[in-house]
Amino acid sequence: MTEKESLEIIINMIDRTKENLKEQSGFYLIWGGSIFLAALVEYVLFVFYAYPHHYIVWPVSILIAVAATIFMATKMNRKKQVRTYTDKALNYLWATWSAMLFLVLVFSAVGGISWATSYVLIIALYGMGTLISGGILNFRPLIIGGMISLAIALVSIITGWFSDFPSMLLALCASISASFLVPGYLLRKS
Amino acid sequence: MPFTPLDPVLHSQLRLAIVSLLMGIDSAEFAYLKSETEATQGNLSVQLKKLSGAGYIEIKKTFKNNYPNTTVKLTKKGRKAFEAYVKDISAYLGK
Repeated sequence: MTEKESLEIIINMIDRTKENLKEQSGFYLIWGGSIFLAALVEYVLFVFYAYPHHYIVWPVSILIAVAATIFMATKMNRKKQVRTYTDKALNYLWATWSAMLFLVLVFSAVGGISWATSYVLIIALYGMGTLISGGILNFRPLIIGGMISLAIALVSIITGWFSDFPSMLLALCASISASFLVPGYLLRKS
Repeated sequence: MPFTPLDPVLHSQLRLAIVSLLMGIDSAEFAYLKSETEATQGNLSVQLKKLSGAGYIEIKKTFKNNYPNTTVKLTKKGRKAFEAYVKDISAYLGK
């Protein structure tokens, strides 16, 4: 084998390990769709029907999304024969992200912060997670979506929306559309 | 400047292909390496054993969907050896 042939093998093999972005889209669509619907249904129940247990939509939608995620991840792992550094980075990112979300939810549940305030933090978390994953995947719609969510969180603080629960539900819908639903759809089409 | 002799472990078509593939990923299954390198099962097994013997890769045998599954990962030693190999062939090619 000559040195030139060695170089050709190296270039050829490195070229084969390029990322498959499309497979990531399902997770954004599942979570984007379920959170968008949950926030919208809660808004309708709270504002139009004054239903006292309006929050019931959350455990239901989260359980459905978790079940769908486990099903999809198991199916993907069965087929997946390679673990890239991108997979590893995204796993760490979303695991840490979930832990932070859990922390915010527990903090709200024990009364440390109001639910409306916790939504500002959750919107900012969406922004952070999407922005970082957009950077890792080098996918512009995710980067822009993440920035929009961070901007929504900032506007909610400045305008005082964060103290108004129904406004925060709509802000959450806007944030999840920008950072999960639209980029997830574009990722699927890419 | 005299040329450094090329690493004999890496200076083989299939072993170089395996290590080049592993450079860009965290870990890969045997089936993935087989399909990407288009090697036969027997030849791939032999070359993986040689790379593992040199300490360039780590082989893990587990079960997946009730079938034996071999996962391969590049070690630090393997990464360094690959980088040195690329440097050496660059010198040969005058780059």
